[in-house]
Amino acid sequence: MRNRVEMKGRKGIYPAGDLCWLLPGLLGWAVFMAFPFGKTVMLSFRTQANNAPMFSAENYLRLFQDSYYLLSVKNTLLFFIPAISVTWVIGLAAARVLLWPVKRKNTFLVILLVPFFLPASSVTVIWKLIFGNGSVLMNSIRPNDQRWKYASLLLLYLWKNIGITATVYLVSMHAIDGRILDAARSDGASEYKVFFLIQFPLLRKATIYTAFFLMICGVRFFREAYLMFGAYPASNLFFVQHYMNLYFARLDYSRLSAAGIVFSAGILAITAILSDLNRRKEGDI
Amino acid sequence: MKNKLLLSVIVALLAIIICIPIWILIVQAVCPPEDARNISLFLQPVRLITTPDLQQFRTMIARHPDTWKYLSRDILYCAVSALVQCFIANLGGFLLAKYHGLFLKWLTTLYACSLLIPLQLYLIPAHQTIREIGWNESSVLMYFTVAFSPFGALMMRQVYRQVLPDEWIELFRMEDGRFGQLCRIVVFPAGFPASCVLYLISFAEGWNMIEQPLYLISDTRLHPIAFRLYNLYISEPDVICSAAMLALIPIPLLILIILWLAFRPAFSIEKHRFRGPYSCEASAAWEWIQSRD
Repeated sequence: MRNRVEMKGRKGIYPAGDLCWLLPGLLGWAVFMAFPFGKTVMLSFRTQANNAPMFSAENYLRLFQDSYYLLSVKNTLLFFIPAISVTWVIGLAAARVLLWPVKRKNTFLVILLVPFFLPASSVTVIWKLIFGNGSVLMNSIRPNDQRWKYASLLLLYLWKNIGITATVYLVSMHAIDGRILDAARSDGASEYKVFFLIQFPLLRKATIYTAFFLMICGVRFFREAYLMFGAYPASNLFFVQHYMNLYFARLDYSRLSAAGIVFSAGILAITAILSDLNRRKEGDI
Repeated sequence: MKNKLLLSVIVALLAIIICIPIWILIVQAVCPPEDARNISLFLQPVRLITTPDLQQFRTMIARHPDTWKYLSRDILYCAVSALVQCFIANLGGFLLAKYHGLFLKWLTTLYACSLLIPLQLYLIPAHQTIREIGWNESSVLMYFTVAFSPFGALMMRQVYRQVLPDEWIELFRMEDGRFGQLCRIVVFPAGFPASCVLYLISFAEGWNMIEQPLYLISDTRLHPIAFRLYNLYISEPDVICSAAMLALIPIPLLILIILWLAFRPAFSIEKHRFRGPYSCEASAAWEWIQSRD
């Protein structure tokens, strides 16, 4: 059979004509994402003044002088860096626990995953009942404290995303060749050494993928923040998307576009650094 | 033995912690409307146990008789958009995984980058364009972002790179199988469990829509149930828990269906044997496939 495959050649097995099947997805992506995004980029260079030049960087310059924008960037970073790190650590620990032979492991995995899929609107109703402004829990611990609101949102992020992080790690841990671990154990390595010196370095790809995935979840987490605290939340929960929402209500699309593009550029830069790190490490191996 | 027991206890505790919020919602949804109102307004603490009573649901349906109409409309739109997403993602994922070329590499990078951009950046120009062409206030509009999201194609790309050996494709090409046959007989069945998971993710994404109605639709009757709950919390606190519960039900139900469908042993790729001119060779290859399974 191999000879016949060679006779047919790579182009015979994977003809370029098949790529036309990419078109439905590509067109949809272009119409509903790429084209509107291009328009947003153009919009970000336009100002609302009548006699302003066609393209100007004024929106970007004004953005960095806007204290609300700087506050929103600071809040976004202060929320998502701890949120992603804690989710990542707990998810990894949960995956490690599930790697051991535990009864009803699959049932637990499904339970862990359920919060990820639940609708934000229902989840925020529960969260408001438990952590809301007048709830028993809040009144008895710290009433009307901004830090408590921050903590409740952080808990919601953890509750929703720990399951999916644990699943990604669990799948990656199963993919590691058991013989490597057995060899280390037979050489007298403790479980801690096996985990930190062998398993964890081999989970590098999963770690980068998880970081990427948790960032996507972070970008989408605005809906929970919006449903919990509305369009005008406490000052420590005023995220970049709240800022964009504010300018949408004011119909200032240019400023909104500039804010969104700077935010996206930051996320893309972090992703690029992570991917580069992954590639370099692969080169080392 | 002692460690195993300890681990089981830790796992059970974690499961309970995760289930507590869902349990709290269920209990508040089945308590009397008067109590539910007081709980929502924080006049009394949340209940952890109650005698089940469906009065809240009855009150809600009596006040909003078209609840079922909107619920079924949302389910239909989510189901169809998730189906479109699965079809597009399977095709795109397979091509991105198995075919080679600089264009495909760039496309993969662009797809991945577009996932990291906040939805507002697409929705606002889309909103402007829609207003310009006069196609305003249509609830179908909101679901296009779900149906054409690049997430599915990227997910299926990873799946096909792992579950689909090149030999299967080579075999079918040797048997002069066309692209359509290849997808129907080999590619889609191989990615079926992952497609089911993708269907669930896409359905949940459609069901979860907040930004789309916020930016695209001003008519509240066209808002999906998830977004309508936001307004209900302020206006009708006595039925909010039952409404939240109702909005929650389709997702666990779908999870159960997906688990049954995707991982039942009755589903097998072997059922879809390819009947080509070189059937002996095909059978030998299928034996090889089975041995790998």
